[in-house]
Amino acid sequence: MKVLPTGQGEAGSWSGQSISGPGGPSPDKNLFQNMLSAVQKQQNQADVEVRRALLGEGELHDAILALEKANLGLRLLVQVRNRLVAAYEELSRMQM
Amino acid sequence: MNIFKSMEISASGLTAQRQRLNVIAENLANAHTTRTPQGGPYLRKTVILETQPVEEFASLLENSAKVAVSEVVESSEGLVQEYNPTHPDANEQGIVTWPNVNPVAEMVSLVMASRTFDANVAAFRAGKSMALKALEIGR
Repeated sequence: MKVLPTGQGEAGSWSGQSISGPGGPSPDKNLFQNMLSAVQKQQNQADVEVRRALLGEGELHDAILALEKANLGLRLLVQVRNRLVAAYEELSRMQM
Repeated sequence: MNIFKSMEISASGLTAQRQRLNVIAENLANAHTTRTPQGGPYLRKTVILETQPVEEFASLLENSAKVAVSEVVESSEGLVQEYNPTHPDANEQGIVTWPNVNPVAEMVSLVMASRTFDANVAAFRAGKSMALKALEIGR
């Protein structure tokens, strides 16, 4: 339930470096990392809501809704990552 | 993000209906309560709902509104008087005042709260499935 920050995450299989390619840092990497931190924020929020619901402080549906938001955000992030990888593979196949 | 706006609105509806349910449960539980800290029988409570802008400084053009509980009001109308001198809370004339809670009306409100909750869940689900379908466009 926790996305490790990029750069120091050994478990983060899709860290920013693996995507930006050999051309050095690109604006895409920045965008991707912004999305990554936004998704992580949503997941932390979901964690907080679930904890509150389990402790009886918050409402149950708020926890489920926060989880759904995190789920949707992660799905969107995965789609963006798929597009980035597809674009990179397309470029790497290009004949020079 | 904009896709979460409908979810926020549905969430506010869910919260409001939960609070309504709390008040209805309180009414039903206290349908025969004759003693309160304020003295006298329990008074029926009703939830008043109000709209609330989704964003803090929402523009007037885009006035989508959430729902929130404005206040919980007590009503002292229709208190039931019954002659029962053996009751400890009877007055000098032997009249006991019972709460003005009508269990049938409360059950109707309960069903309405429950159905409105379901409707909000359905709206949330529709928004979620639309978002998931949007992600599948490029597939």
